[in-house]
Amino acid sequence: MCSTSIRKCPDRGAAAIIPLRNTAERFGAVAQTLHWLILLLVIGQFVVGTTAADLPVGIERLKLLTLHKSLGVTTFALVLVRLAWRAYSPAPPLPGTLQTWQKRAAHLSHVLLYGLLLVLPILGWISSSASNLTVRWFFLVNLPNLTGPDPALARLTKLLHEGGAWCLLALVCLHAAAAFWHEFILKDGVLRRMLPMFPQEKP
Amino acid sequence: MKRLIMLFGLALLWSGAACAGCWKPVLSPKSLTFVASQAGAPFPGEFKSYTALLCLDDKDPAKDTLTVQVDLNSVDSGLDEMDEALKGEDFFDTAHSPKGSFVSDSVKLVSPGHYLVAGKLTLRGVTKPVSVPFIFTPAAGGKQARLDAKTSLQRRDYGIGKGQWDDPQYVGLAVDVIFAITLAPANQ
Repeated sequence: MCSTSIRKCPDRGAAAIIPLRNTAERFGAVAQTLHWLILLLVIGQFVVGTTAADLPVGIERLKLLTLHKSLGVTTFALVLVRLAWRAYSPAPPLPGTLQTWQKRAAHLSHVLLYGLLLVLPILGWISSSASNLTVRWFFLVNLPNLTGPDPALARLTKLLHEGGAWCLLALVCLHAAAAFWHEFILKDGVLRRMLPMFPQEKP
Repeated sequence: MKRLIMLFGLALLWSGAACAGCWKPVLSPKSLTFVASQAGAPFPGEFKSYTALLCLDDKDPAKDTLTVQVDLNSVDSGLDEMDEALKGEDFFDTAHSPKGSFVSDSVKLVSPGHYLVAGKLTLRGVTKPVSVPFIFTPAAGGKQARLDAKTSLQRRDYGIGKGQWDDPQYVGLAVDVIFAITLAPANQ
């Protein structure tokens, strides 16, 4: 029977190994897919955004920023989906072995991560609108302008967008460092809850 | 003395004939606007400085004329760095041709208030024939009038958006130009 350990069931496909929904022990396939997809997008956005910021006004900058905006809209939408999914299928609780301050720190860093993931695209959207550059998602749909041309507002929101991006980078690094700390120091399996290749071994 | 009066009378007649129903724009914000496109999204802007003279002769429509001169350095797209690029050599090249001009060849009355003007538009030293329908609406009292017109130009016809900017996916080829101008009598 397959009830005690998945490793005893080699016939089972990957879909059977990871359920869609989160369980009490680990994240399901939906949450994992969204997590890693959003990470890829954030890394890509950081590279594209900083590259574009260093370019002079020109078609290359326009092309990169067009891609940056399309990816940003995508990221924003996926973060909303992720939050909705999280509400529908709650994240597995943190190990009871963690101290209160660690749980609080984990909670705070997640709130900040989600917050920045939502605020950064909105700041970019305002900045783009204030620069008279309507955001168009992959040449398909125009987003409404949030404001008319406003150079001062464009400068302010661009500054906040860039500053926020560096904060997000720092938070992502902190998040990854905490995950490795859980994996290699605490050895409490927290990192593996978000990985597809380590099916649960605990009963 | 008689001569002076005659001369004065002639001058009055001449100016009256030449400018009978001549109008010039009262400059106001967003009266001469354009809508270009970037990455497929509308990119609107305006020219803040221009002159025009519209002369409509009720008795002899063949004498109707319209001339427009646009100060291309007055372009305002709401994005300072793009304004500089637009004035630069890849777009308007204002260092060599600071003005865009239109001179009519003919003005046809299509229906009351509705006209079709045909003429030559010059941008960047390139002259092309264009014809544009416009609506002329005199306001009560004859002290003001409105001119409304909209046309679409192909930027490549005039060599606008050269070099790196040529890519039509990112810099659209069609540019709408919209006139929503308040006119005042030109002969006073």
